[in-house]
Order: sequence, then structure tokens, then C-alpha cells
Amino acid sequence: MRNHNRKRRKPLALALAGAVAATLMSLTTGPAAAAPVAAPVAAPAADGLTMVNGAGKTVTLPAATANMLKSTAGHTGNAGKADPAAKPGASATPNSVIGPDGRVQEGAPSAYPWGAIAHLETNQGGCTGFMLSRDVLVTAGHCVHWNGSWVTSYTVTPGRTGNTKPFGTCSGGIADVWTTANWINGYPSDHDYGLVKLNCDIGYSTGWFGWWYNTGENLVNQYFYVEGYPGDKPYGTMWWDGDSTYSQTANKLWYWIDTAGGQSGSPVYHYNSTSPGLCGGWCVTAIHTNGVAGSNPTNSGTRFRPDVMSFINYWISQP
Amino acid sequence: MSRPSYMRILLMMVVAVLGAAGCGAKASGGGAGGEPEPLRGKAFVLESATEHGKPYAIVSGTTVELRFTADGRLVANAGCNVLSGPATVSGDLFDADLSATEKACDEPRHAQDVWLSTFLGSRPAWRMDGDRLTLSSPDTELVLAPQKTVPLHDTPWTITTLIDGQSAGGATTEATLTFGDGEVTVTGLCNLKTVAYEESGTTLTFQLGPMTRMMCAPEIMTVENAAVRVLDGAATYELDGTTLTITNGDHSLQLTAE
Repeated sequence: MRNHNRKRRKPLALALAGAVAATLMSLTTGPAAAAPVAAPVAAPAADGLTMVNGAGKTVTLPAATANMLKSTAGHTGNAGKADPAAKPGASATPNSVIGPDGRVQEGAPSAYPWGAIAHLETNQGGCTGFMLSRDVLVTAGHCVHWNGSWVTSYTVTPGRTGNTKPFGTCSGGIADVWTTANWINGYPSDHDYGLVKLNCDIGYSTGWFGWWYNTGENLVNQYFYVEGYPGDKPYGTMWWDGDSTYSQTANKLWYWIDTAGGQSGSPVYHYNSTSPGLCGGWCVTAIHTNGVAGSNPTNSGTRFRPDVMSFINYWISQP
Repeated sequence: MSRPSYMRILLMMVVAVLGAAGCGAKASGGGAGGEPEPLRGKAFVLESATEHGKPYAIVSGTTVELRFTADGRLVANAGCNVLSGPATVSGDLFDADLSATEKACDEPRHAQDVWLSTFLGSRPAWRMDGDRLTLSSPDTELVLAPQKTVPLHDTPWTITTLIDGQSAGGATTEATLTFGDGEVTVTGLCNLKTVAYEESGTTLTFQLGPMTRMMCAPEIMTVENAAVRVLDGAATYELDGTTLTITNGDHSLQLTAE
């Protein structure tokens, strides 16, 4: 269960936070916040780490301190899984379970932050999204626009389990869905991100994720979760898996986390053990977009970065 | 899941980095001696498919399309999900290292996604028969026709997308532009009926005439306001198959041929 994992991780998080508290106190001045207010831009640090949080705060840490902030939760993951390359057909199916299925059904789908993960049903197919403000649901670009066509109707159901919908639903149409010119011009995977500007304030009920990106951090071998609404499970149920990342570029993140069709737009997140001023707690840093195919037996997502957050923050700032 | 061996991880990281950077042997798309790939910049639509010699029926209402980008990627529309990644040809074999998006689809479209993903990953043989692309494996053959190209002039173009700076959103009403002799005829909007224009290469210089001042429904006014911003002064256009993009500063309209 996820709560068990969280309990295992927290002492380590607290230990890390304590170890760097003195340094951070001299660098941070504002409270942590989950609601972004501006489009921050982080300059690369020469040998340290420049981080930007959901409140638009930029903090540059010395290299030694930055290393201590890396996720070192020590979670063993699904150690019993087989080598992904040994699974027959793993390269040929859009369902991206790498080796034995490590996915677990969410035990607390209406609790924060998991209640902020929503089933996104559209006229083009099923996806996942996550709340990043009172009325902005972030998802993959291909979940709102693909093959020259926009989604023309959608229903968002946060925290659902089948017909149990603890926060109700929010529905709309083409006027609410947004992506970027970069995505619709050729559909490059690096620009696969979009959002729904909901016509309701359901985020006040669900809460919303914090977020961060940084321009210098090595995310490889950090432990993340991907959570959403896979289409191969009972309809409208939320499932998660956690595992390590194995590769990154400036725009993409690759990981071993099990997913399936329907989880496009899921948050790639973990528990950030940082002090106030950064994104502390459950924070997102990428949007799940792609599953296993071809010779690369990993799943991947679009990383948060200045252009992504500039786009998202613009829509968060709109009434 | 358990971790692969370090050698396997190293190998996969190399593949991933090369794929992501678009600069590996496959990703470069460069043929022997650095010749450009013969398929780059071309788009094809599935015309017919056979499995074990029998016709393979595509799911009704879907289109299978393969688009080879100038930077060496294949972007394939499988019917529901997007398959994309570096693609190249080696002799008469076609190599594609594709990743798939993860929308949930109904079973027929899901099966079609799997079918196309499996086939394209099987290193099928390729050949051009005139302007048609044929991809074949021992069991499967796909014949694809070039995507049709629609002329700018005398085509009713439907506005599909409004672009304002970084953001792109869908048109909230149906409106068309038809480029005639020095004049664009507009349908479906409120006050904008015609716009004079001159064409020089890929530059279109528009001159808005007098317009009425009616206030129509918000979904119509949103599109009209976007159109007025683009169809005023010097703009550029780009034609890609059945898609037309007109850009004027930070504002663009994307249109599709009916």
C-alpha cells in the first residue's frame, strides 16, 4: 500500500531535511506552496543545483548540499521482477508493463494527493490528468489534440473508483482544452503536454500537486511513482507503480515504472524531502506520455521545464 | 521489476540517448555515404493491407498514416495512439524504434495499435512502386499512398486551431476561408466576410476592409477575433498536405481542407 511506502520513506526524508536544514534556512525565505503564481525561469548553476518550486521561488544550492537532496529513499521496488528484456512481446504491446506487473490499486483514492489524480474521458479515448490549481488539469498533449483533431468533449473525475466519485465530475468541450503550437506541428514527443482549463473549481475539493523542475539535477536512478487510470484494469480504477528512472534528456525522462494505455497524462511524482521554500511533500516533475515499444523497454514522460511551466502557469493565472 | 545487467543498462542508455538526440546511426537517417533518407519529409496514408494473403480491415472511422519527418523520425497514426521514434532504411529493410502513447482505446482500436506497432517493429521490407510505399513482412503487407496535397487557392479551408503565442486551442465554431482571385471569402463568422490579399512566395499581405460591428455568440467572436488578428497585414503561410498554417507575428490560424 502506498501509505506503507510513505511511512518507510519519511524517516529518511526527515533525516535528509535535518542534514541540510542549516544551509537551506540561509537560502529560502518563503513558505512552500502548491499553487504556482508565475512563470519562473531557473538559470543553470555552475556546480550546484538550481531549483524552482510551484510558488515561483528559485533557490540555488551548493553542489554538496544538492547531492544530499537527491531522492535516496532506498525503496527496493519490485525486486522479484524479471529482466524486462526477457518478457516475450514486451516490445510489441502498447501496454507497458515491464516484466511482472508491479502495479497496485490505490488504497486511498480520495485522499490527498491521490484525489488530485483524475480520470480524463474524452471523445478520442481515455487518459489521466492531475490537478495543478483550482481549475487546471495537466495531461499529455495527445490527450487533447491528435491527428489534426481536438478533443471536443471530456469528463474529468478525480479520485474515482468505478462508480464512486468522491469529488463529482466536471465536463466540457473544445473551448477548455489547450496545448502548444509545438505539439500540433508534427507531434514531437518532447512537446507532448497539454491541459484542461476546467469550467469548475474542483481543485478546491481535491487539492493539487506541488511541482518543481531544475535545470541541473540528475534525475537518473531516482525513485518515482506514476499513477493513473489504466484501461486494462476494472474501469475507472486508479493504479500506481513506483520504480527508478534510468535515463533523461533535457525534455524527457525514461523509467521502469509499469503503466498501461489510459495512463497518458499521469503525474510522475515523488515525495520531496526538502525544507519549506522548495516543493516539499508530494511533487510532480514530469507528465507520463509514452509506453514501451520498439527496442527500448522503458516508459517515458515529458519533463517539467521553463517552457512547460510557462504554458501551464499562464492558464493557471487566467480567471 | 528487477534491474537488467549493467551491460544491458549501458546498451539501452546508449540506444535511448542516440534515439533522443536523433544523432545515432538509426536516428540520423543518413544512408550510406550520408545520402538523405528516401522517405524523409514524406507522408503516406494506408491504402490497403493484407494478412496471410487476405485483406486486413482497418477499423471503421480510423486512418493509418505514416509521416516521415525531416529530422529522421517516423510519426505514425495507428488509429488511437501515436507511434513515434527514429526510423531509417538499411538496404531494403525498414527500421523503426518506436514508442507509443498511452491513451485507452476501445478494443478494436487497441488491437489495431498493437497490430501496427508489432508490424513496424518487425523490420519489414520496403519498396516504392511509383509514388506508393509498400512495407511487407512474411505475413503482412501494407500499401500506402502519398498523402494528398491540397492547393491554397479555391479550397474551402476550415479553421481548426487558434494559436496565441505559446498556447494552441481549438476553434469553437466552424468557419472557412477560401482564397480566390485577390480576395479571401470567409464563412461562419460574425462580421468578417471578405479580406483582400496579395501573394508573394509564402507571404500573404492582407488588407482588412470595413467590417460590421455585430456582437455574436462568444464562441463565434473568439474565432473571429483570432482571424482578424492574423488576416491583417503581412503574414506567412505553410502548406502541409491538407493542413494550412497562416502566421502573423505571435498569432496563427491552422486550417484543414474539407
